[in-house]
Amino acid sequence: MLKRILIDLDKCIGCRSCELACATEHTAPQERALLSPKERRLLARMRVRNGSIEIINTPDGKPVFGQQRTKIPAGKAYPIHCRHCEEPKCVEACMSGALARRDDGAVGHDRVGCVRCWMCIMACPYGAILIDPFGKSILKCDLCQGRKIPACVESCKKGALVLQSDEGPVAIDRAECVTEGSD
Amino acid sequence: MESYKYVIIGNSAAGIGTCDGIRRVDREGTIAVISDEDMPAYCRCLTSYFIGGKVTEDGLLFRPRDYYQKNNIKPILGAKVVRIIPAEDLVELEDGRKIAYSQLMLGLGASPVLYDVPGKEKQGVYVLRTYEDAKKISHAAKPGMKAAVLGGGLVGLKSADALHHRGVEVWVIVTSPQIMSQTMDKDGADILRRQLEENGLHVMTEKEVVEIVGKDRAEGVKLKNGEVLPAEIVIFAKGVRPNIKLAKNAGIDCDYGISVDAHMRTSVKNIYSAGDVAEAKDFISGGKYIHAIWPNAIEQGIVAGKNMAGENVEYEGGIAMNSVDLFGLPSIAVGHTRVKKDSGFEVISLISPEHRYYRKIVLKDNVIVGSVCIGCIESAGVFSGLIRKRADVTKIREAMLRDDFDYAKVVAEGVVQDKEHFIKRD
Repeated sequence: MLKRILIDLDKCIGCRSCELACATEHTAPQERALLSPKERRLLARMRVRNGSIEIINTPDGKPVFGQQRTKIPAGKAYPIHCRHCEEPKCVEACMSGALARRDDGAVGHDRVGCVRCWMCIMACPYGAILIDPFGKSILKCDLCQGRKIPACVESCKKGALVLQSDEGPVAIDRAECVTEGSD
Repeated sequence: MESYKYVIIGNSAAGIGTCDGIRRVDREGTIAVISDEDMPAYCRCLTSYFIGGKVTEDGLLFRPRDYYQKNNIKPILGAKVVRIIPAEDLVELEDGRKIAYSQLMLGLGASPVLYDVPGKEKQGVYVLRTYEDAKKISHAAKPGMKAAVLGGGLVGLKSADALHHRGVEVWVIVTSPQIMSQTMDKDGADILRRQLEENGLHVMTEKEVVEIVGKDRAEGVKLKNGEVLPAEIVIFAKGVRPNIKLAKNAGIDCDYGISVDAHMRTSVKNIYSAGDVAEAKDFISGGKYIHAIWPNAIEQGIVAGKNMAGENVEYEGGIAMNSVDLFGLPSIAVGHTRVKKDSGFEVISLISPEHRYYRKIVLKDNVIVGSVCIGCIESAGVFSGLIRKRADVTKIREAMLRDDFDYAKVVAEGVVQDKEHFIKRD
């Protein structure tokens, strides 16, 4: 029963709650204590990307290197996650074997086996694989192992993230939701 | 006599890809994987990481040790195939054993080229391809030693980086005017060269080694201009050549490599080929070419395997793709990155050497055919995807060069339709 996260663009307001929920889910409490919310957000395994091609936030209109612009105009927010593709290009490209399809159908990543060769990043057509800001590994969605509903889906108050299984959308049972987890 | 439904020669990317491909279709058919190396499937791209101390022997393995058992595959390791007999559907091993097949896959790989330089037989002269090679180099490398790496491609630079991490002083000696002359353009190569030099490596371009000097052991390399550089370790990293001898002797059509069709079939019935030895379809030109890289070998293996097991799948074609991280500076080059002026290609780029930032997009009729990303690489795969989709990128031309470019812009501007994933009602 393969699950996927679909995006309802009409509902997404670009609040980025999902990023923070993802980052929180995937960091241990002791690690979180050392990070500011801004730093912690960089550990999220998905990103809300900006669909606007206008250059914003740079006074002279020139690109700013090494600095992602953060403000997202209305209607231009695109949450981008791993799709857990049927024929994943990232797994084909992974030379250490750290990326592999798990028994539940999700594409999993072993952070210890990862050698930081960036081959998966080169292969993923969605740009859904991110670099760990501390340089240790890559960051990619694991569909929140051990959770029924992934943290990002659960955190979206607008219902813009929809968990889809082979049988259709998976309903969120708020009573079952947990607020915190750890990697 | 041993007999298997599927016999695979080669236990690396193409061979294991083939096993994966077969097992997706046929869970039962018997498989044997033959390799002259006595080691479970490991990644040759990681051998330099092993020298550099970044991975252990277990870290080299790209499949779990129980992979063969779990997938009901018979590994025949440490066995060299000396002959393929297509008329009898047999392969013959060095020890005289004969193994029968219904379907055969040749993942024969490639071997490093040893140029005819006087002194190349001396101790201390190495190539880097296999785990054995890596162990020898790793054993020889001691802090304070000096090394000459001949060749500035990926293998050369990765070995240089690895030796440097082991405390060896390294000279990279390249005959071309730039490093990575096969995979990177001049501007990109200059940024990478600066990165290497600032981290303590010596890079020499347009220099040719004419002799390896020393008694029985290498003591240095002599350049064409007469200069002698001291080096106790010399590594030949001047490219690889496909291992076609076995196939040629068996009467299989070979050009530079083993020629295969879109189904990865060779000219002989029931024999397939994939990986660094197979001359397969090139995605961009449509002709035949060997892109001897990991992802292509895996993908070709999967296609070959599925077809061997009775499915009908075509290979889309390979694209050159290389990723290397040098002292924390990542760089990725995909597709045609080195194009000549007035060749019908259009190049747009943005460079800022002080930020270690470079991005270049090569276009043909507004469709991407190549890209280079240095420094900021998170969207490199998006370019690979756009190459595969042959999408018209006119609307996102300028945005593609910026460091904040991502897949959102591709969808928002309608360059690629992605309606199954992104739901939008208007």
